[in-house]
Amino acid sequence: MSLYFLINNLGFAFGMIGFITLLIAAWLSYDAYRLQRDAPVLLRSIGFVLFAVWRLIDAVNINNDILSYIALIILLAGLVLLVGSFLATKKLALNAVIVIPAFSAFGSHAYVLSAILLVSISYFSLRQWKREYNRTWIPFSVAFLLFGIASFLGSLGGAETGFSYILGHLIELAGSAFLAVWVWQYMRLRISESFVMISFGVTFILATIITLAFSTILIGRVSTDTSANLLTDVKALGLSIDSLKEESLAKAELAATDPGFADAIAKGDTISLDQLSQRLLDQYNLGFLTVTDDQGVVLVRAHALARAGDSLAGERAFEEAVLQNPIATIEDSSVEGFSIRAGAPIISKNKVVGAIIAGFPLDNVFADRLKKLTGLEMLVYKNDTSVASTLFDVDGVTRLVGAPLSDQAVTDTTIAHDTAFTGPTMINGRPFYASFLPLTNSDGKVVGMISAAESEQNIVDIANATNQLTLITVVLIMAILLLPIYMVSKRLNKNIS
Amino acid sequence: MKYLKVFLLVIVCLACIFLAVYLSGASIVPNLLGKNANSVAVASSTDQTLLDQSAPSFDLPNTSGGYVTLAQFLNTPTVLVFWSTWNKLALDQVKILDDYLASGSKDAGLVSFLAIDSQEDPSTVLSLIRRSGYQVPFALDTYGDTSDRYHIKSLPTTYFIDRQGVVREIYSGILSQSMLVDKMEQIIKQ
Repeated sequence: MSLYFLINNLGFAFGMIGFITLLIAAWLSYDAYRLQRDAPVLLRSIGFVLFAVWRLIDAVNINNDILSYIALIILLAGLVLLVGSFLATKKLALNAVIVIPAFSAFGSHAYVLSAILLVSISYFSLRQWKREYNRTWIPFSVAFLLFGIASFLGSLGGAETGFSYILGHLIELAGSAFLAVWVWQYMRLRISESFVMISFGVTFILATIITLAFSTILIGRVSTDTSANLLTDVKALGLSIDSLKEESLAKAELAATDPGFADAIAKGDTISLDQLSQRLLDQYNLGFLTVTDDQGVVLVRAHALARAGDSLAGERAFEEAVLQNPIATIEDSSVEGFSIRAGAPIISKNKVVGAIIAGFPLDNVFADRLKKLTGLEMLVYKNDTSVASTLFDVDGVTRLVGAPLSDQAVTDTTIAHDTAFTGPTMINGRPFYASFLPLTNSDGKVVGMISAAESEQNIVDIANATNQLTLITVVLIMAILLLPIYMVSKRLNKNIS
Repeated sequence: MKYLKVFLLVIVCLACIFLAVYLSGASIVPNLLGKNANSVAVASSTDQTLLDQSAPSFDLPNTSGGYVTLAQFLNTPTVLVFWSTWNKLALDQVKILDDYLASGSKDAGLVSFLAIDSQEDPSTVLSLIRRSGYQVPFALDTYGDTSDRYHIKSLPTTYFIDRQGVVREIYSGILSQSMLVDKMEQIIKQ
């Protein structure tokens, strides 16, 4: 299981712990309100409930903009109610409650605002401790301070596998632990509530464990299958590229035998060259077809008529072609870019008068075609830098090309050791499961890579959907089982009284 | 007095929340709606001569040996994308359009699309189309007559034409899928 999946599931577990603690705190607050009928205590209880709701929504990671906004409003409203309950209380009762969960979601504005509110609550509770000489407020104050720090870390943003994200979650967990200590101070004094709340807490903890176990098994299975499929796909791509090389070579050689080329070159008839090369480009379904003279000067590019007159001298496909050694290779060229290129000589009266360079660009169109066939994201790398990609930036209009691959393990395996790599990796800052296959030139030297990738987010989305369904199912089952326990505890309480 | 303070505090806090959500939302809503600041700037530099005018007619060869005319799209909202193989942005626009058509969206069935290649040799265009596997309907404006009639100054340029054949929006520059959908919905409603 990759780090991304692990963090996702840990985030879920921590979130659920926060939710359970908050809900218990809300219950205690409500209980305090029932005894005192004090409005600020009721506000506090509502504040806790709102926090608990936000904590649950955040933990199950629902990717829905509208719901995310509603959750954000719930969170802020809950915090405001908690702050308000503190400020409005002239003399806080000992069993009054104030708690807050952690954060990890939306805009930095909201995070900063939340952090301020959380630290304010921490300050007010500290003041309450000083005023009442009541040490029970200490864990409460520490919990809120930790939540505030976690919220501030959340406002820094960053990747889900980043340091600040992980640290934020750990601080949040510590905050929940302090909050649990604070809650327990009151819980242990009440037999009936303790009984119910412990059962309630155990229910959710068990539900969380079962949910995590299911999703971990599922993710493990999906990851294994994805890796195997990616490896198969990328090997099939390797075969396709080999076949495109052979196809390019065969078609270049076939085109070079057309007597029309030698005649047109001899006469300097560019119109005939244009017409003939375009006809063959169309007939042979090639990506590009270039005709040069024996010095490598481009006479015509059938795929870009306006671009002629430059020289291909120095390019491997041309050099080998004029030596009457037709080859297919993968190399970079000024107009076609990184491409599969085959060169064949045009011979007239046993003399090389020019060359046909034909093949297929390894460009975005090529990557798009492969994506259509496989359903996977495709990337082509020249050395370790992407030159073609099916991935777009978050703006939806910018192709993610031109960035070097940051994963050293991939470049070491694929480029340095000419071996396929499959596994989790980061591509343009996003987590992917990907396979990389080396691309070699005619000498067998690695000149780049082709990659088939599946976003880890897609796999995590499956896990999150499973988490949501499993959690709901388990909680419902356990709630039904809990009902008789609650009734027994109520009766016991009555008998004791 | 006791509750007045609470009340005032709640009011102030609610105002703060509203402000925070409003400010956050202001930066997020354009993304949700598929708009961004750049798009406004680009769009304003577009030649808007044909806006709210009848779309100029055309009769162009398509990629399957037939012809395509504007009259064929009468009574259907239509999106025309002017592009060229040498222009990477225009090519990406075709890819975005192709992705949208492949997504199987309901709205896609309510609108006609045509990607008009501007001033290129047919063999070049056909070679690329075959290679790409894009399923967008294509037409070839080899000599640029239609591009001239549509005042195409830069590529890609997208025309949104309503059921009555009136140009409702002209956009120069690349449109993301969400922006495309947003603009399409507007011509579907008209």
